[in-house]
Amino acid sequence: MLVRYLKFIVLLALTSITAAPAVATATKSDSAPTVYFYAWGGSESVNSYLNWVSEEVAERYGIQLQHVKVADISEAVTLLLSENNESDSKIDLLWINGENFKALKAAEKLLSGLPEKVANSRLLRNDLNWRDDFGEAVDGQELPWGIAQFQLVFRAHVLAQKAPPVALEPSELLQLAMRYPGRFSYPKPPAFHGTSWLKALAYELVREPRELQKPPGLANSEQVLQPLWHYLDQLHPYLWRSGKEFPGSAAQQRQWFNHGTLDNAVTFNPNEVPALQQQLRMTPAARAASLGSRALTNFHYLAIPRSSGQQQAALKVLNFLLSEPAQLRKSALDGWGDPMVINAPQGAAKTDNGTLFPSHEEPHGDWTTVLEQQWLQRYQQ
Amino acid sequence: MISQATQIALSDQCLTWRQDGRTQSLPDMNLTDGASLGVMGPSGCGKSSWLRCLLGETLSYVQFSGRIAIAGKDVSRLPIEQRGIGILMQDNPLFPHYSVAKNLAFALQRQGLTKAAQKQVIETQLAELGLADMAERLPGQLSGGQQARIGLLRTVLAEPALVLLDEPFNALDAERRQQVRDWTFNFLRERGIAAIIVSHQADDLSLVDQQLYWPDIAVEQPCEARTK
Amino acid sequence: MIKRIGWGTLVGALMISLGLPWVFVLQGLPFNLPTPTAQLWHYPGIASALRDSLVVGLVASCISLFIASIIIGRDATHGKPKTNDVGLTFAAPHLAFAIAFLWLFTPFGWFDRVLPFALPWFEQQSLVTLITILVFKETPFLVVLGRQQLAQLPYRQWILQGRSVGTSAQRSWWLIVFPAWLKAMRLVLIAVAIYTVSVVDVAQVTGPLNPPLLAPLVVNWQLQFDPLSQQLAEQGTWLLMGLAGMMALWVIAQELVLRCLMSARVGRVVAQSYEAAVALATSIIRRASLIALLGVSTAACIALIALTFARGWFYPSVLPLEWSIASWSAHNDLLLQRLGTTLSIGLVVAVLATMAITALREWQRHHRYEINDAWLLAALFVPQLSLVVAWLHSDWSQWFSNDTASVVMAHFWFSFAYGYLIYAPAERAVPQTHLTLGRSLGFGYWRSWWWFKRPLLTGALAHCLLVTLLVSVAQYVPTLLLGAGRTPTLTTELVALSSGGEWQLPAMFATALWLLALVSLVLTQIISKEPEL
Repeated sequence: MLVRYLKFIVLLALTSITAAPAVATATKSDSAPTVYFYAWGGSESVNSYLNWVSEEVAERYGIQLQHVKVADISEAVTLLLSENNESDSKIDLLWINGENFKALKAAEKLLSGLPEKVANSRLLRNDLNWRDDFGEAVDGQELPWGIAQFQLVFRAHVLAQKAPPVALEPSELLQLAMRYPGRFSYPKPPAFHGTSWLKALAYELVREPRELQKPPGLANSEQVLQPLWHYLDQLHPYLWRSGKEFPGSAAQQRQWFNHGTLDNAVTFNPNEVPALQQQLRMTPAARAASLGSRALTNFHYLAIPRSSGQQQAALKVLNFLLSEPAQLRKSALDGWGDPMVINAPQGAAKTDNGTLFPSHEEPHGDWTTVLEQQWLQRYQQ
Repeated sequence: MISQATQIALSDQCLTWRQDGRTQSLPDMNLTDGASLGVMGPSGCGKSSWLRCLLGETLSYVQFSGRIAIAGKDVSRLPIEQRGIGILMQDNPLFPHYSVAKNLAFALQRQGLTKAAQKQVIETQLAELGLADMAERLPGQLSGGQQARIGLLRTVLAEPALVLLDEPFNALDAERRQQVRDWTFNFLRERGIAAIIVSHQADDLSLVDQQLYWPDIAVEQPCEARTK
Repeated sequence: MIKRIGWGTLVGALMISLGLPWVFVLQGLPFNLPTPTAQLWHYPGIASALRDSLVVGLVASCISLFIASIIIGRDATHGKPKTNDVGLTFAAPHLAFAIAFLWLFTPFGWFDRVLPFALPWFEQQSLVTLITILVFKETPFLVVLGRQQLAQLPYRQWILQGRSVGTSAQRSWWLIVFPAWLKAMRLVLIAVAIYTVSVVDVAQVTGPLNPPLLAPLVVNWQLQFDPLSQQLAEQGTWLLMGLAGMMALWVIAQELVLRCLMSARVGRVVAQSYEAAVALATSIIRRASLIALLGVSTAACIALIALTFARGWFYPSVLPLEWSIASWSAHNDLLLQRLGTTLSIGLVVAVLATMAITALREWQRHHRYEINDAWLLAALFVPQLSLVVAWLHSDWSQWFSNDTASVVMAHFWFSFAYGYLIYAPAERAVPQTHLTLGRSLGFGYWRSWWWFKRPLLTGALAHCLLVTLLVSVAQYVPTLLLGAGRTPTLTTELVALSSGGEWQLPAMFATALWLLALVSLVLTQIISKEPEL
């Protein structure tokens, strides 16, 4: 009896798993190609936006878009870097930037000439310096998808005496930290937002901010960053757990902020506070502030692996993602709230009014490693 | 260190089988001066369960009531370790992961001996059995007969007033069986320890002082009827 | 002749499927050892990372063994062992349990908001919190598997014999049964100890981060692509393997010491008052532990379920701004899809692994040849991400070009080790006589196995199926990377969702996983209890 039952289970399971890929390949070879889009899956608003995109591209182009959710896009980079086939990558479309882009570009894994291949790239805003991704030239191997601007988030009572839009000088931040000891922190470098916090602070503190646009010299980097480390030495004793321990990521810090553990958070989405508040995902007591009068600004991008077997379909999806309806929908505050990278269509309300600050460009790419290594040397024991 | 001969009296014994509520009364038994009682009965009749009840084990399928008097004191409500009743089981009489010496030491812990004194006792006793060089061996390295003898020695070293033997020779082959059996009865008799031995083989009981056939539950009166 | 080919082919195929991944590891894992001059030793905080990892490994595995021994000891000395007292905690997915625990028991957490007085709550990112959570998760694992191992020992007879020569029941447990049980548990304890030093997700969420423990540190390096990080990752992998080896040695040393300690106490006179005090203390520890396990798990489970319905639950509110079933109704399709994939893969893996384990045990028994366990369990010694990355860089994908097959193969490989851990000791304790007897009656080998030997192993087989299923269900890295995202499961979804700053959706998937494990456990217990033929 049990034998029969087991046989049944094995058969059932075997058929179900052998049938699944069969179905997938069947649909692939038919007119509906499947595009596997590897993208961070930690945000419900992003996930549901991508759901909407899937429905749209299925309807418009008959493309099956599969969002492969990853906890960290470097997992997808690991996968892509390990592939050595020329034509049938597991990945068709990627959401990346920074170090991950640099690694893939260096390994010549990405399709180039995207601006020519994607018609909607002509809609991209000209006033944005997206051709440089963390100091690495984009070289047509990725197209911007959204704007990221480094901002601080505070519990309202902390900023009670400031009128919006609030821009905090580092010295004011130190004063606040001293007034609310143990209530502030920042994501631990080399977490993406942690390193960005160091860059944003560096811009405000170093004597010659233009130095940061140049590659760091071995000898002078220590000297250039001296004011930054001096400032952090002063700040740390007033941070959460006296600056001996930090949240692991911006997402975690946001959780702790909502949870009451901390009175501040950091974000790279200038619309995050209003969007998340509207969706009851961030405490109503949250208020955004910029660090200094200019905010560190960068972009997040889309790229297609050179070896993707579905390049044409992936290009169509990319083109759609840069289209007016897709960009408008992405910037809506009841959804993701990520600012548009294309010129706002006639008559459409600009969603980033009042939330975007004047910008600092990313420092030269090599500063990332310098900042991370020096921080670890000083504060990680 | 050897138990003094003591009066053992079992009376008003009743076994209640929980599954169907049947009861079974047992005759009164008296053992004096290290006498032995052999109980015969077919396999599965309940005699092993009865022994375990005498030992003090709580069994899920049968309940025992009755008086177990040792030197006039009723021990039937004491926990196993305080009754002064020892048992030798059918097979695996020893703890396989402890040496012979350690196995024997378990029986000596009540007596407040120093380690050296314990060692002395164990060596002497083993030597008497002709097993002097076995002290550090593991039970797995001994023959069945050797295991049975050391098992009995361990039971006896704890100075019980009564030893229960549950089909103790089953694991042995015919030749060894007779040898060990003769030795066992001599050993107990020499030390004046009373014993109850249950077996389904008449041979095993040839040397006992008293014999009893396990009452047939289908024929015997239930407990209540008898006591009335 | 046919039979011989049958055995040979079966075991040969199995050995290839177990050995091949090692070939791929050797092919893909750079031989970059952490020599004294290695880059690794210059990494800031490496000494603290190593020290903290060791502390977690030693303390967590010691405490869980201690509590599990007390709980099992009570089982051994009392008539009827409990079966469901630790089930809820056993079934809890590690990450989900950790998240709920932090949400409830940290400063500003839910209990801190509700209770009018301050308590020393568990701090975020601290060694104490991590150790506590690991103890909470490992103790039930040891209890469930420990009961299974206990059942293979003639412990009732031993305790009875001990008592009949004047040793109390409790003392009989510690002096007679415990040493034998501990030996039977050796492999399980090694697996747990290695898990403790190589765990990544829970360590990252609850443990110290400045510096992190060694395992999350290696993962962080592995996921950075500059040459220095890659170097560190390679050396760190070997260091982590060394640490795993040290934990294995530690478990063996601990076993030897404990067995010597127990042996030294044999024959020792003990005062009744001392025995009474020990009995009272163990009873208090046992009760307190069971209450804590059940209480915390129930609270965590309720919290997770509540979070799936809650919208806007912010400090300092005790209750959310809104309750809503919107999240469930919006995502139930997704949830069911993921559940389907998870179960299909999990069941195939569990059945395949259990069949393979059974076949390999029978082959060893039949040929009177014992393969050293260390070879079969080696999968537990190597950090998983390093293994998977090594496979990605090897010919793995040419052998397993189908994504699903690739995932099943990887799950099978990891499950096999855990399943073997459970089944092998139980199988070794069962005599072969019944099977031989069956064959003498004209039954073929496997028919005879099924009718005469399997009934003695029902519990072990059921637990083997359970654990191989749960190991498969819990896989993230192999499922994502080897399956290239084609086989999204509840776990891959949960891990991806948990990387964000939200509670609701991760809580839904965590609840589903918890429920799945709980149902499997209950089924296992029902099957194990089936009257044996």
